[in-house]
Amino acid sequence: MSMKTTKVDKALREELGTKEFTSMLTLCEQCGVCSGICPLSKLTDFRVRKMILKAGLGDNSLIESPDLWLCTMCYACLERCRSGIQVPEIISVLRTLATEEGKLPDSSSKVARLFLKTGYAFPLSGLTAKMRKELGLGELKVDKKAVNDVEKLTKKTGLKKLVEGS
Amino acid sequence: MTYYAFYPGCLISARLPFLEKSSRLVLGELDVDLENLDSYSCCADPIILKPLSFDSWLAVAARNIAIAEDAEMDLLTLCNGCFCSLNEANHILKNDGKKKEDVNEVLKEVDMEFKGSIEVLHVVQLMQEMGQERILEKVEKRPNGLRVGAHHGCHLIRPRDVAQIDDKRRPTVLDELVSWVGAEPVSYAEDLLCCGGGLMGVDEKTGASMLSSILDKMRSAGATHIVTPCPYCFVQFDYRQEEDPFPVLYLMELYGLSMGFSPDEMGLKHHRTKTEDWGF
Repeated sequence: MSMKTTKVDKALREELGTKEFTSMLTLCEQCGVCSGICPLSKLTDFRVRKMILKAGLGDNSLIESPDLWLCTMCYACLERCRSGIQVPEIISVLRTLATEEGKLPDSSSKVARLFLKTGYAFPLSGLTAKMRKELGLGELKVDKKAVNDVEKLTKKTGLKKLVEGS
Repeated sequence: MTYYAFYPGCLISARLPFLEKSSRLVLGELDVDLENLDSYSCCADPIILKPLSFDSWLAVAARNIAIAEDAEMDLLTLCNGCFCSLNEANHILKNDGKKKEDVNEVLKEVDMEFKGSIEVLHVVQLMQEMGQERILEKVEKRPNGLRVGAHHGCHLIRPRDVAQIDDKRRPTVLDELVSWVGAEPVSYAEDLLCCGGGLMGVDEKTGASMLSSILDKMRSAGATHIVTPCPYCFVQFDYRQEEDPFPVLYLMELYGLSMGFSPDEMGLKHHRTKTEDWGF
């Protein structure tokens, strides 16, 4: 009998490597310490424990859900997991996959595009320029070399295409 | 004189330059010389950009580190996010020969090379290294009844085997740094949880709930002020408190006030949460 391979299953196997993927399937005891420490648990329906279970089963619904974007990468679950499950890495693989399918949230897309355009993740404003001057700090400009280098590096390594399309 | 390649980070540079100002004043007082190097980019940020493309994140971080390597100086940052990205990238590339080789292949595109020759430091670590005695030599004022809700921020302390700032399961480094200058840290639940700042773009309601939950705990513990070494937490606490807000200080602002710098010269008027009482 052959199991049907899903997108999520395939991406996780490829990105994490067989060893880590198998560990996730076999080592996660579903003890729930991750959901216990996660600050999202008491405020939302998102549960790390359930996400890991679904990831191990290759459940494609993970990349459809807006919950995928709630994690702030605080690493609290990573520190508590007794089986060493790399939760942030798993979320990263799922986010990349979801982004490839056009599901990057607008707010994240805005930050990524700004970074690619200016080298900064925050916009330079007239208000800040005035504040910097008043505080006796140097002028802040978009650094052309930084922008060019970021463009070359992200073109080579994937972020540019992922965010801006081909 | 101790020299560092100064990496203020884009949130501080572009939005919170008064945090750069107080840091420069305090570090100058402590005989730390900050070298401004050209052509840094965003670290790249660990919350939004890193989970999209690990390879791009690693290459961009390696490039930033390589700029400081070329200047032969350790890199000093004021930001938890920058520390998390640059320190972790440095850690990965120093310990994984294959990844270092791969990243250097990518860095050829921009004629740079990651060597693995420097350390990445958060300003908190620099204070730890200097020690209380050296800081107290410069302290001129004791705070008056300043009870602090000290919020480390996730990316200063986790993952702890990479951050290597405080290896306790429940880190207390910020409480110690706050108490060195005579402020009293209060003990509150949720002191190590995310402030919700990283959620504000994606789900503002949940981010705001995370914040208010932490504020409630600080209030029950009797805090009068908040101190954080993280500019992301600073924005969350300073911009987004609603009723009866706590005044918020970045760690270097607390040290600056202790050293006798005035709120005016540190630009504290640019804080959104207004107060006449900085606790001194």
